[in-house]
Amino acid sequence: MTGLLATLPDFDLQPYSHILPSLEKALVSISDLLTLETLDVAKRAQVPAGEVRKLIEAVIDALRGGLQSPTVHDVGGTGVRVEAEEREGGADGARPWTISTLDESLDEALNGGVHAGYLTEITGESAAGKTQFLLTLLLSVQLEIVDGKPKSALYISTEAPLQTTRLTQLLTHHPRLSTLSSTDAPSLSRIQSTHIHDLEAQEHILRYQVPVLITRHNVGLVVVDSIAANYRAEFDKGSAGKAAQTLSKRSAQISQLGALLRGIAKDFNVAVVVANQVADRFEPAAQIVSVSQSTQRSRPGSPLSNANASTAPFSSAQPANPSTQPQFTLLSTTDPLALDHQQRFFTGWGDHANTTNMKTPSLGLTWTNQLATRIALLREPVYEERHYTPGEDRNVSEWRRTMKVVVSAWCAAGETGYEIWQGGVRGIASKTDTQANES
Amino acid sequence: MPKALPSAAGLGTDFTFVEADASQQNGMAAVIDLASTPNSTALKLPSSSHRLPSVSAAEAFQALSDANSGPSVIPTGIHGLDDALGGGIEVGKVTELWGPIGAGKTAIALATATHAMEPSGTVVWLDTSTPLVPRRLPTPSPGSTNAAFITMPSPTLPHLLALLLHPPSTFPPPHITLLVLPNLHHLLESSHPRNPTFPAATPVATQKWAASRRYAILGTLITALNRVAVMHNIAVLAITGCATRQRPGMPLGLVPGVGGGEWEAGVWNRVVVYRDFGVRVAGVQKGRGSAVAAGMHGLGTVAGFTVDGSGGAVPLEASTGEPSEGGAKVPGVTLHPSPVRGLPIALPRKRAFDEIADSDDEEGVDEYGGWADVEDDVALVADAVDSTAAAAIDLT
Repeated sequence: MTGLLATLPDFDLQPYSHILPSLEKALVSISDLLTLETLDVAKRAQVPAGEVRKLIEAVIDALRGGLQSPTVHDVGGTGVRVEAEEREGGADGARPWTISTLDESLDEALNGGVHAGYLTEITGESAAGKTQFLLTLLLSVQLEIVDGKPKSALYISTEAPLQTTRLTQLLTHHPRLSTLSSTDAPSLSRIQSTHIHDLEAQEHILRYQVPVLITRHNVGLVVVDSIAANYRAEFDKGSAGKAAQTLSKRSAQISQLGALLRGIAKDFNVAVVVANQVADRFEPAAQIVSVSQSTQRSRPGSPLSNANASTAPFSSAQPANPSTQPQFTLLSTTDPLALDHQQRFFTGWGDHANTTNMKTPSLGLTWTNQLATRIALLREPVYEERHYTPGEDRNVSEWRRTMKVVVSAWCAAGETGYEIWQGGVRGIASKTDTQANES
Repeated sequence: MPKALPSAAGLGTDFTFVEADASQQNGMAAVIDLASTPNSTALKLPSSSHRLPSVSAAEAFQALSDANSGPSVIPTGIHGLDDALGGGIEVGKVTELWGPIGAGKTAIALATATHAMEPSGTVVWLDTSTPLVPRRLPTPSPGSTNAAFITMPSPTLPHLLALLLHPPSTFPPPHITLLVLPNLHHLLESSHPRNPTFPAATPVATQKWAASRRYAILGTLITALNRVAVMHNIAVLAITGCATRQRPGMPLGLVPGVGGGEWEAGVWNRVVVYRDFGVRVAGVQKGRGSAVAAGMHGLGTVAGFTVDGSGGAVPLEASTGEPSEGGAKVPGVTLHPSPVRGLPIALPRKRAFDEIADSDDEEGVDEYGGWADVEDDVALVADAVDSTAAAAIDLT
């Protein structure tokens, strides 16, 4: 029966094994069992109605069992939290915990660190520092000790193998790690790593092997670096007729992957952190120009990089008619629900009106909808301040890196500057952007 | 003497029976009498007492609302939004909040929950795919005796359906005023995705039926939510995500994460939450039960807000455009028309092909929905059966 064991892992299938194959063949799901008349289901699957009725009753009982543990928070404002029943299963019940980034300002920006129980994405251009963050987390999770045992980590790579030399460097140079004794210090032996070559292997490992490894090795962190790599090779456009079908199949796979990772994070109370790549994004035709500029400056429109829409590019932006505009406008465009416009706010690039060089994390809106948190690592070149002859390329003196919490269920959105050094990553307090207006 | 009839369930009051006026000779006069004295609160039974006593609809609704004391709306705290909704989200109805990730939907729901606990109400927040962190839990004001914030696990769609259709004794808890269902789209996606794929050997009719189940289940869900809302006199807040759709003549746009004709018809208020430079916006698409006329932005009334440090929504200061917590200013940007000629028109939504359960070419499915006896070999003929033919057919 489709999804029965996924929804109710402890359900006893044996008494119903004679009707389950027919129900499966008729594509009857548990939700259908609960919402359709028993007789309709029986007719559709060609099975006796009495048996279906018994199955439905057993399913309802099992589902009700899972609903019996509400948690009451803060009754009557007395500050007392009453737990109705401790939730069964999972590593340490539902106790919330975080994995520190080993740096104070970064931890503060993350409301304590990367939260366990949620699916988190770290995205950015190549060489932005994603892997550096992940390596730090692989070591930091081992500082979480439960029942005398430190947590271990799982590193699933799809491209480059685990950088063990860099990990050793972090251990010797980071002040919080190097000062620990050899028994307390994190060790490479508590990091399990594996390499995945294709989507099928990825699906199999995540669905079947990872849960076993988590319980066997007391895992607290699962890292997938990176999530998009295996999708690139698998889905080429093919013929035009099949493109739509391929895309919808891919988006169904992506949402299933997201549900799987979220389920792992929640059921085992571990942090699932996923690295994602970015692609360039071009401005759509209508430009947004700030009112402080005295002359209209239209940027050349370029075709949308997404292959979905194909609107003809406009060569110049139409000036707004001043008499129809109110003094205070809340919105900057007449079409605020356009994907291109909203993308500026949930990708991490584009939420300042004059941003050029925008990026979009891979796997699109379907993947974005799966996340609890997206952390974007942005980097901007800082050019050398000197006289340049006309035509000379500017010299990059350094890169200014920003860690930006784009969307999050567990911390406020905001930006913090950071840098990469021998001991990993550390925040730059002086460069903290005060435009973290939500915190 | 008229028999004492049981009081109508749910109205909570007994109606006094008054003997019919002896001067009235037939039932018709009594009926006319009722109609001509609309303010009469006494039941008049006609002398031919096979007619049921009648109560005017106005009286019935008045009695119902008298029995259910309490506010009829729960404010969200965002003034423009509350004004557009008629004071806040309506009790006894389902309100939908949709929008892209990170827009502020949960923030608005949390702000509403804070108001729902005043002066003494319980909020039930279903724990679906993404639990709330402790820092975001709203705290009721001290001294409110029954105020509580309860989280209940509902990890899958079957769990939610069991909770609503076959509720356990703990649900809903007493003094409940608000029920929040976050991330409803996640629950639907795992078992009934928008674009499903099927095993290769499945016949087309079965595939079409399975694809239509998403919308049928949404219909059942909204009916069940409306029933819970009315029966327990609570407001229900459903938070859904977004998807994309090609809009004719316009670039790719965002649409609600769950849809379908039955769901959209059953939802009383629909609010879209999204972002713009330096501000978060809530737009009312369906308010007080009817679709709002598309305004300047094609979206009806919009209200700005922002999010405070504990993740709840707070209103913008409307006059200056600055958020009341003293954060970033709304930058002055000129309004640019989007590169299309007209604003989107809200067309009456036709059901998509796969929403309509196609039962025409299926054998073994009874058109009359189970009324016919399964073993009966005689087909039910609807009309056109004259009396002689009826005598000839053996209807068992």
